Amino acid sequence: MNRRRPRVAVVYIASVALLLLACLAGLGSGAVAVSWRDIARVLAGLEHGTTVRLIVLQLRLPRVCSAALVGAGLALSGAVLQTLLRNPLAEPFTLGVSGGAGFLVTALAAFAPALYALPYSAPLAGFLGAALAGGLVFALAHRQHFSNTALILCGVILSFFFGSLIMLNFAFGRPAALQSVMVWLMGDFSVVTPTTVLVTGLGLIAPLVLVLASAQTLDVLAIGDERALGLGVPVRAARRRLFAAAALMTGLCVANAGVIGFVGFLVPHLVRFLVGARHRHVLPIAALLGAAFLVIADTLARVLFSPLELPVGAFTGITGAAFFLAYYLRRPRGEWDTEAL
Amino acid sequence: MTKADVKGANRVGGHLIEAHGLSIGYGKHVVLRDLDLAFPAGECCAIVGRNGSGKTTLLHTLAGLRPALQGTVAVQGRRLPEWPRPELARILGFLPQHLRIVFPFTVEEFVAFGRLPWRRRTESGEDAATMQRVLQELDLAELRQRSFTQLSGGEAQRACLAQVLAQDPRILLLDEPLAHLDLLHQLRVMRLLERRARQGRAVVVVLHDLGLAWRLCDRFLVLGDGGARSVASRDGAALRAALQWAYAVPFGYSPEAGPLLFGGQPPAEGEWEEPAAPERP
Repeated sequence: MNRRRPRVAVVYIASVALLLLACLAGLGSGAVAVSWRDIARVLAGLEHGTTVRLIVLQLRLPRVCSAALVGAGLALSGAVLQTLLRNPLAEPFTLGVSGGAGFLVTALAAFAPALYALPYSAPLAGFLGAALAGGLVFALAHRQHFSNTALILCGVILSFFFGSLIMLNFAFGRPAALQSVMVWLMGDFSVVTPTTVLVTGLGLIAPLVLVLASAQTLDVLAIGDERALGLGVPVRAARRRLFAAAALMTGLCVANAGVIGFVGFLVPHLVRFLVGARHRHVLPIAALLGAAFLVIADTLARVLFSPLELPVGAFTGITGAAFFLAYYLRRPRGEWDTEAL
Repeated sequence: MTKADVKGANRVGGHLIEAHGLSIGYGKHVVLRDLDLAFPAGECCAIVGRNGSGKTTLLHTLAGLRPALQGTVAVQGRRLPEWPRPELARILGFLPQHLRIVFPFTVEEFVAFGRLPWRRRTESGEDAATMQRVLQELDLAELRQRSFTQLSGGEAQRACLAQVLAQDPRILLLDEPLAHLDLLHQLRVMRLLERRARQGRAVVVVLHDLGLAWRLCDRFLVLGDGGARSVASRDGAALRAALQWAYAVPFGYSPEAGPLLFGGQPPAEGEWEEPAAPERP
């Protein structure tokens, strides 16, 4: 019965190694292959004015950094939301936050194409939409003191609502402008710039620190509000704080790279399987593996059918759905029959 | 100095937790009204009553998990809202009726959460000793590395109880601690609760098995009809009357076995009419 878990230190080392390898692969592969030695020379500042330097620093580095940041952010917010909802199937998109972002960006593209063409307007609209949806879920769930059921129900309601609004935007809007929005909606790193990377990175710092510092609180919240309160944790304040942090991380990630599903579901699951449920280890390893996963996914999406680029969201969606299905089919028959929402 | 302070919470026999003019319920629906309760140190008290009579709601209110509609609850002479949560956690331990754990904490990790209120206050040696003792007492030593999600119902229940006991509180409020336990573990848990009471703690347990409650507890708090009656376990006549009032079923009483449903004999056909269900909001 007792499955032996690998030593935590081994998992840490393996995760860091995997992330480094993923980044090297991401920088090296593409239409023009760059050797690892050349990458090292560029990063060390030994190449000047060459095409290789341009490709690595201008084209691929922002993309790899962006994928790593978004992967870490989504995996962390997934881990936090699963704990807050006490539901291992939850992930950032359960909240309808991505739907809010998608709605505002498609609305901009449909009804204010001039505004949409301005630089940074799409990421900004995405972030505002994510914040709007997050705020709405927050306000609605607040009525029921952020109970498990309330959060899930509000998230589902908003997902459907924003999904319908996006369809209306497509129906009424101008198809030409919406072509690029479609790509963004599916999750896309092809438009990242050093500035968007910087903005995402800086924005992630505060929620990241807050979440990592709350590992013990999350442990106790995971066993139920009654016990958490009984153990001296100010449950409502902690839930509010952590929920806001998760929503902010999700918003930043969606604004940067569009709707990328399943990272927030898949990675925390894998991590709990490897190191158990203690957040002291789950959170940092989820961030590392989330980053590695999305860098690998983006690299594969770029090179698999080169010169055609797949939207990375479609790629993670397929991987995630396969994993989800495996998870579902491995449950004993009837296990969920009597389980409450 | 309040009246409760004078009573001296630290004196053995003093009231660790008491309530005055307490009305509890949900919104406008009052479940129990105008209760005056006192739970002294060194005593085991059973809360019994029909489904929906307010046992769990009362325990929640005493534990400070839900506000009282009216009246006050005081722990060691200090009103509940005035207690900082982390401090209260070192004095009062509450075992909820249901805990749904979906993440793979090991039993040891899970039980160790009970030590959180004491962190940075005790030597880690004391933590380890408490953990060791509690795991032994509840027969969990062999399961310490097992994932919580792989436990049977009874094992999970013991782990939950172990977490509350690891908290080492002076007041134990336990909602059906014997649920899902086999006979042997029921006796074991009863014994260790009795021991905790003799050590000067106040033990308050919601129980459904009146025979077990009678063996374990010094006193019954019988809930029914929006009120409560407090009777000593060995006061046979009073206990019989209180149980008959609460359950609307005839009871007998034996000094050896405690309260006996229908006096120990099932009623003859047509001899007994089932009472109407209690009114729900």
